[in-house]
Amino acid sequence: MTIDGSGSSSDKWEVQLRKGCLELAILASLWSGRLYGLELLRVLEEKSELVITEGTVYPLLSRLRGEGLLDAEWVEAELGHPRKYYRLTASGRRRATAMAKIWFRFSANLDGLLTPLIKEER
Amino acid sequence: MTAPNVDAYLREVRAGLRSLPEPEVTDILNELRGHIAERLGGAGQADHGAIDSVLRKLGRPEQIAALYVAENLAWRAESTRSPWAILRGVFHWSTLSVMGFVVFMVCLTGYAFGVCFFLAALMKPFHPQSVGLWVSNRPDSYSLHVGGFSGPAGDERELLGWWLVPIGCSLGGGTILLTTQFALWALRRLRKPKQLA
Repeated sequence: MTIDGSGSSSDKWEVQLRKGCLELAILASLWSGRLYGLELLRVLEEKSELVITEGTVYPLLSRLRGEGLLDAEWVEAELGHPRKYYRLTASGRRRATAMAKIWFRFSANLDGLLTPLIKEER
Repeated sequence: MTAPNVDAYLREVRAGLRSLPEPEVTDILNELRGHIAERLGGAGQADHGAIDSVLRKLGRPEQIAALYVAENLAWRAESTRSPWAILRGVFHWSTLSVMGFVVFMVCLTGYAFGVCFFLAALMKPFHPQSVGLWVSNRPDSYSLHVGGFSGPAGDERELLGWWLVPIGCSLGGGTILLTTQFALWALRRLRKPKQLA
Protein backbone atom coordinates (compact mmCIF):
# COMPACT_ATOMS: atom_id res chain seq x y z
CA MET A 1 0.00 0.00 0.00
CA THR A 2 1.33 3.42 -0.90
CA ILE A 3 0.83 6.45 1.26
CA ASP A 4 2.34 9.11 -0.99
CA GLY A 5 0.36 11.89 -2.65
CA SER A 6 -0.68 9.88 -5.68
CA GLY A 7 -1.18 6.54 -3.94
CA SER A 8 -4.34 4.50 -3.63
CA SER A 9 -4.66 5.14 0.12
CA SER A 10 -5.14 8.84 -0.27
CA ASP A 11 -7.51 8.22 -3.19
CA LYS A 12 -9.60 5.96 -1.02
CA TRP A 13 -9.55 8.48 1.78
CA GLU A 14 -10.75 11.18 -0.60
CA VAL A 15 -13.59 8.96 -1.83
CA GLN A 16 -14.73 8.35 1.74
CA LEU A 17 -14.48 12.03 2.54
CA ARG A 18 -16.53 12.99 -0.51
CA LYS A 19 -19.23 10.49 0.36
CA GLY A 20 -19.39 11.68 3.92
CA CYS A 21 -19.77 15.30 2.86
CA LEU A 22 -22.25 14.80 0.03
CA GLU A 23 -25.24 14.39 2.32
CA LEU A 24 -24.45 17.61 4.14
CA ALA A 25 -23.82 19.42 0.83
CA ILE A 26 -27.22 18.31 -0.50
CA LEU A 27 -29.04 19.47 2.63
CA ALA A 28 -27.14 22.77 2.51
CA SER A 29 -27.94 23.32 -1.17
CA LEU A 30 -31.63 23.01 -0.40
CA TRP A 31 -31.43 25.46 2.52
CA SER A 32 -32.75 28.46 0.59
CA GLY A 33 -35.47 26.73 -1.39
CA ARG A 34 -36.62 23.82 -3.48
CA LEU A 35 -34.53 22.39 -6.31
CA TYR A 36 -34.97 19.54 -8.75
CA GLY A 37 -32.26 16.93 -9.28
CA LEU A 38 -30.32 18.51 -12.11
CA GLU A 39 -30.53 21.97 -10.56
CA LEU A 40 -29.14 20.55 -7.37
CA LEU A 41 -26.35 18.85 -9.30
CA ARG A 42 -25.46 22.16 -10.93
CA VAL A 43 -25.28 23.86 -7.55
CA LEU A 44 -23.07 21.06 -6.24
CA GLU A 45 -20.88 21.23 -9.33
CA GLU A 46 -20.43 24.94 -9.00
CA LYS A 47 -19.90 25.17 -5.26
CA SER A 48 -18.27 21.89 -4.36
CA GLU A 49 -16.15 19.26 -5.99
CA LEU A 50 -18.12 16.49 -4.39
CA VAL A 51 -19.96 14.88 -7.28
CA ILE A 52 -18.08 12.68 -9.71
CA THR A 53 -20.77 10.21 -10.70
CA GLU A 54 -24.02 12.13 -11.03
CA GLY A 55 -26.13 9.02 -10.56
CA THR A 56 -25.11 8.73 -6.90
CA VAL A 57 -27.05 11.83 -5.96
CA TYR A 58 -30.48 10.49 -6.95
CA PRO A 59 -30.48 7.40 -4.70
CA LEU A 60 -29.20 9.58 -1.87
CA LEU A 61 -32.09 12.02 -2.40
CA SER A 62 -34.45 9.08 -2.29
CA ARG A 63 -33.10 7.94 1.07
CA LEU A 64 -33.12 11.45 2.56
CA ARG A 65 -36.77 11.63 1.57
CA GLY A 66 -37.40 8.21 3.09
CA GLU A 67 -35.86 9.42 6.34
CA GLY A 68 -38.19 12.40 6.33
CA LEU A 69 -35.46 15.00 5.87
CA LEU A 70 -36.76 16.01 2.43
CA ASP A 71 -40.14 16.36 0.77
CA ALA A 72 -40.53 15.77 -2.94
CA GLU A 73 -43.18 16.74 -5.47
CA TRP A 74 -43.54 16.44 -9.21
CA VAL A 75 -44.08 19.71 -11.05
CA GLU A 76 -44.99 19.94 -14.74
CA ALA A 77 -42.40 21.91 -16.68
CA GLU A 78 -43.43 24.30 -19.43
CA LEU A 79 -41.19 22.45 -21.84
CA GLY A 80 -40.14 18.86 -21.72
CA HIS A 81 -40.24 16.47 -18.77
CA PRO A 82 -41.93 17.07 -15.43
CA ARG A 83 -39.45 17.74 -12.66
CA LYS A 84 -39.20 16.26 -9.22
CA TYR A 85 -38.55 19.07 -6.76
CA TYR A 86 -37.02 18.47 -3.34
CA ARG A 87 -37.30 20.70 -0.30
CA LEU A 88 -36.08 20.47 3.28
CA THR A 89 -38.58 19.42 5.93
CA ALA A 90 -38.43 20.82 9.45
CA SER A 91 -36.43 17.81 10.58
CA GLY A 92 -34.17 18.18 7.53
CA ARG A 93 -33.41 21.75 8.57
CA ARG A 94 -32.58 20.64 12.09
CA ARG A 95 -30.31 17.87 10.78
CA ALA A 96 -28.55 20.28 8.40
CA THR A 97 -27.92 22.78 11.20
CA ALA A 98 -26.61 20.09 13.52
CA MET A 99 -24.29 18.73 10.82
CA ALA A 100 -23.01 22.21 9.96
CA LYS A 101 -22.12 22.84 13.61
CA ILE A 102 -20.18 19.60 13.78
CA TRP A 103 -18.45 20.43 10.53
CA PHE A 104 -17.28 23.85 11.72
CA ARG A 105 -16.04 22.48 15.01
CA PHE A 106 -14.09 19.75 13.25
CA SER A 107 -12.62 21.90 10.55
CA ALA A 108 -11.59 24.68 12.92
CA ASN A 109 -9.69 22.16 15.02
CA LEU A 110 -8.11 20.47 12.03
CA ASP A 111 -7.09 23.73 10.38
CA GLY A 112 -4.87 24.50 13.33
CA LEU A 113 -3.24 21.10 13.05
CA LEU A 114 -2.81 21.15 9.30
CA THR A 115 -1.53 24.66 8.60
CA PRO A 116 2.10 23.84 9.56
CA LEU A 117 2.11 20.96 7.05
CA ILE A 118 1.37 23.21 4.11
CA LYS A 119 3.74 25.96 5.31
CA GLU A 120 6.64 23.55 5.56
CA GLU A 121 6.04 22.18 2.08
CA ARG A 122 6.44 25.62 0.55
CA MET B 1 -38.90 10.28 -28.24
CA THR B 2 -35.68 8.95 -26.81
CA ALA B 3 -32.59 7.49 -28.39
CA PRO B 4 -32.22 3.70 -28.38
CA ASN B 5 -29.19 3.71 -26.09
CA VAL B 6 -31.03 5.86 -23.56
CA ASP B 7 -33.85 3.32 -23.59
CA ALA B 8 -31.40 0.47 -23.16
CA TYR B 9 -29.76 2.32 -20.26
CA LEU B 10 -33.09 2.87 -18.50
CA ARG B 11 -34.08 -0.76 -19.12
CA GLU B 12 -30.93 -1.84 -17.33
CA VAL B 13 -31.69 0.43 -14.39
CA ARG B 14 -35.21 -1.04 -14.27
CA ALA B 15 -33.82 -4.57 -14.28
CA GLY B 16 -31.73 -3.74 -11.21
CA LEU B 17 -34.75 -2.29 -9.39
CA ARG B 18 -36.87 -5.47 -9.51
CA SER B 19 -37.12 -5.69 -5.74
CA LEU B 20 -38.71 -2.24 -5.33
CA PRO B 21 -42.46 -1.52 -5.67
CA GLU B 22 -43.53 -0.59 -9.20
CA PRO B 23 -44.70 2.99 -8.45
CA GLU B 24 -41.31 3.73 -6.99
CA VAL B 25 -39.54 2.25 -10.01
CA THR B 26 -41.63 4.38 -12.39
CA ASP B 27 -40.84 7.42 -10.30
CA ILE B 28 -37.11 6.73 -10.38
CA LEU B 29 -37.06 6.11 -14.13
CA ASN B 30 -39.04 9.29 -14.82
CA GLU B 31 -36.56 11.28 -12.80
CA LEU B 32 -33.57 9.79 -14.60
CA ARG B 33 -35.26 10.22 -17.99
CA GLY B 34 -35.85 13.90 -17.19
CA HIS B 35 -32.22 14.30 -16.17
CA ILE B 36 -30.94 12.76 -19.40
CA ALA B 37 -33.33 14.74 -21.60
CA GLU B 38 -32.43 18.03 -19.99
CA ARG B 39 -28.70 17.32 -20.08
CA LEU B 40 -29.09 16.66 -23.81
CA GLY B 41 -30.76 20.02 -24.26
CA GLY B 42 -34.48 19.38 -24.52
CA ALA B 43 -36.13 18.20 -27.70
CA GLY B 44 -33.21 18.50 -30.11
CA GLN B 45 -31.74 15.41 -31.74
CA ALA B 46 -28.56 14.62 -29.87
CA ASP B 47 -25.69 12.76 -31.46
CA HIS B 48 -24.27 9.53 -30.10
CA GLY B 49 -21.22 11.17 -28.57
CA ALA B 50 -23.32 13.57 -26.52
CA ILE B 51 -25.64 10.82 -25.33
CA ASP B 52 -22.75 8.60 -24.35
CA SER B 53 -21.08 11.37 -22.42
CA VAL B 54 -24.28 12.17 -20.50
CA LEU B 55 -24.83 8.51 -19.65
CA ARG B 56 -21.21 8.02 -18.64
CA LYS B 57 -21.40 10.97 -16.29
CA LEU B 58 -24.56 9.52 -14.78
CA GLY B 59 -22.79 6.24 -13.97
CA ARG B 60 -23.26 2.57 -14.75
CA PRO B 61 -26.96 1.64 -14.73
CA GLU B 62 -26.60 -1.47 -12.57
CA GLN B 63 -24.64 0.54 -10.00
CA ILE B 64 -27.27 3.25 -9.80
CA ALA B 65 -29.94 0.60 -9.36
CA ALA B 66 -27.90 -1.18 -6.69
CA LEU B 67 -27.43 2.11 -4.86
CA TYR B 68 -31.18 2.81 -4.96
CA VAL B 69 -31.93 -0.65 -3.61
CA ALA B 70 -29.30 -0.32 -0.89
CA GLU B 71 -30.51 3.11 0.27
CA ASN B 72 -34.09 2.01 0.10
CA LEU B 73 -33.70 -1.25 1.99
CA ALA B 74 -31.47 0.32 4.61
CA TRP B 75 -33.90 3.01 5.65
CA ARG B 76 -36.92 0.77 5.28
CA ALA B 77 -35.44 -1.89 7.55
CA GLU B 78 -34.36 0.79 9.98
CA SER B 79 -37.71 2.52 10.11
CA THR B 80 -39.75 -0.64 10.69
CA ARG B 81 -37.20 -2.72 12.61
CA SER B 82 -39.31 -5.75 11.76
CA PRO B 83 -37.32 -8.96 11.32
CA TRP B 84 -39.29 -9.64 8.14
CA ALA B 85 -38.29 -6.35 6.48
CA ILE B 86 -34.73 -6.89 7.63
CA LEU B 87 -34.54 -10.45 6.30
CA ARG B 88 -35.95 -9.27 2.97
CA GLY B 89 -33.39 -6.53 2.75
CA VAL B 90 -30.53 -8.80 3.68
CA PHE B 91 -31.78 -11.49 1.31
CA HIS B 92 -31.68 -9.06 -1.59
CA TRP B 93 -28.19 -8.04 -0.58
CA SER B 94 -27.17 -11.71 -0.49
CA THR B 95 -27.99 -12.01 -4.19
CA LEU B 96 -25.57 -9.17 -4.92
CA SER B 97 -22.42 -10.10 -3.02
CA VAL B 98 -20.68 -12.78 -0.98
CA MET B 99 -20.65 -10.47 2.04
CA GLY B 100 -24.41 -10.12 1.72
CA PHE B 101 -24.78 -13.88 1.62
CA VAL B 102 -22.74 -14.30 4.79
CA VAL B 103 -24.79 -11.66 6.59
CA PHE B 104 -27.99 -13.31 5.36
CA MET B 105 -26.91 -16.72 6.70
CA VAL B 106 -25.97 -15.20 10.06
CA CYS B 107 -29.33 -13.45 10.31
CA LEU B 108 -31.25 -16.54 9.27
CA THR B 109 -29.43 -18.63 11.89
CA GLY B 110 -29.92 -15.97 14.54
CA TYR B 111 -33.65 -15.67 13.96
CA ALA B 112 -34.02 -19.47 13.74
CA PHE B 113 -32.32 -19.86 17.14
CA GLY B 114 -34.49 -17.12 18.59
CA VAL B 115 -37.66 -18.80 17.37
CA CYS B 116 -36.48 -22.20 18.71
CA PHE B 117 -35.85 -20.77 22.18
CA PHE B 118 -39.35 -19.29 22.18
CA LEU B 119 -40.87 -22.54 20.90
CA ALA B 120 -39.15 -24.55 23.63
CA ALA B 121 -40.49 -22.17 26.29
CA LEU B 122 -43.94 -22.30 24.72
CA MET B 123 -44.06 -26.10 24.49
CA LYS B 124 -42.85 -26.77 28.02
CA PRO B 125 -46.26 -26.32 29.72
CA PHE B 126 -47.92 -28.66 27.19
CA HIS B 127 -45.30 -31.39 27.01
CA PRO B 128 -43.38 -31.12 30.30
CA GLN B 129 -42.04 -34.68 29.97
CA SER B 130 -40.49 -34.34 26.54
CA VAL B 131 -39.38 -30.69 26.29
CA GLY B 132 -36.37 -29.62 28.30
CA LEU B 133 -32.64 -29.27 28.46
CA TRP B 134 -31.32 -32.76 29.00
CA VAL B 135 -27.94 -33.77 30.27
CA SER B 136 -26.53 -37.28 30.29
CA ASN B 137 -25.91 -38.89 33.69
CA ARG B 138 -23.02 -41.09 32.55
CA PRO B 139 -19.72 -39.37 33.31
CA ASP B 140 -17.99 -40.69 30.16
CA SER B 141 -20.55 -39.38 27.64
CA TYR B 142 -21.57 -35.89 28.53
CA SER B 143 -24.33 -34.77 26.19
CA LEU B 144 -26.56 -31.76 26.29
CA HIS B 145 -29.61 -31.32 24.10
CA VAL B 146 -32.90 -29.50 23.96
CA GLY B 147 -35.49 -32.25 23.72
CA GLY B 148 -37.99 -32.77 21.00
CA PHE B 149 -41.10 -34.89 21.20
CA SER B 150 -39.39 -38.22 21.63
CA GLY B 151 -38.44 -37.36 25.18
CA PRO B 152 -35.22 -38.10 27.02
CA ALA B 153 -33.20 -41.28 26.80
CA GLY B 154 -33.18 -43.45 29.96
CA ASP B 155 -29.90 -42.19 31.34
CA GLU B 156 -30.62 -38.47 31.01
CA ARG B 157 -31.97 -35.99 33.50
CA GLU B 158 -33.46 -32.59 32.95
CA LEU B 159 -31.42 -29.57 33.89
CA LEU B 160 -33.75 -26.58 33.94
CA GLY B 161 -37.25 -27.78 34.78
CA TRP B 162 -39.82 -25.00 34.64
CA TRP B 163 -37.02 -22.45 34.46
CA LEU B 164 -36.99 -23.32 30.76
CA VAL B 165 -39.98 -21.00 30.25
CA PRO B 166 -38.46 -17.68 31.45
CA ILE B 167 -34.97 -18.63 30.26
CA GLY B 168 -36.25 -19.68 26.82
CA CYS B 169 -38.25 -16.47 26.48
CA SER B 170 -35.38 -14.19 27.43
CA LEU B 171 -32.85 -16.09 25.32
CA GLY B 172 -35.27 -16.03 22.37
CA GLY B 173 -35.94 -12.32 22.73
CA GLY B 174 -32.25 -11.59 23.25
CA THR B 175 -31.17 -13.57 20.20
CA ILE B 176 -33.75 -11.92 17.96
CA LEU B 177 -32.80 -8.47 19.27
CA LEU B 178 -29.09 -9.12 18.77
CA THR B 179 -29.65 -10.45 15.27
CA THR B 180 -31.69 -7.34 14.42
CA GLN B 181 -28.97 -5.06 15.74
CA PHE B 182 -26.36 -6.93 13.74
CA ALA B 183 -28.44 -6.76 10.53
CA LEU B 184 -29.06 -3.03 10.94
CA TRP B 185 -25.38 -2.42 11.52
CA ALA B 186 -24.53 -4.43 8.40
CA LEU B 187 -27.21 -2.70 6.31
CA ARG B 188 -25.96 0.68 7.41
CA ARG B 189 -22.52 -0.23 6.12
CA LEU B 190 -24.07 -1.48 2.91
CA ARG B 191 -25.58 1.93 2.34
CA LYS B 192 -22.19 3.14 1.18
CA PRO B 193 -21.09 0.69 -1.51
CA LYS B 194 -17.43 1.10 -2.29
CA GLN B 195 -17.62 0.90 -6.06
CA LEU B 196 -19.20 4.33 -6.46
CA ALA B 197 -17.47 7.56 -5.63
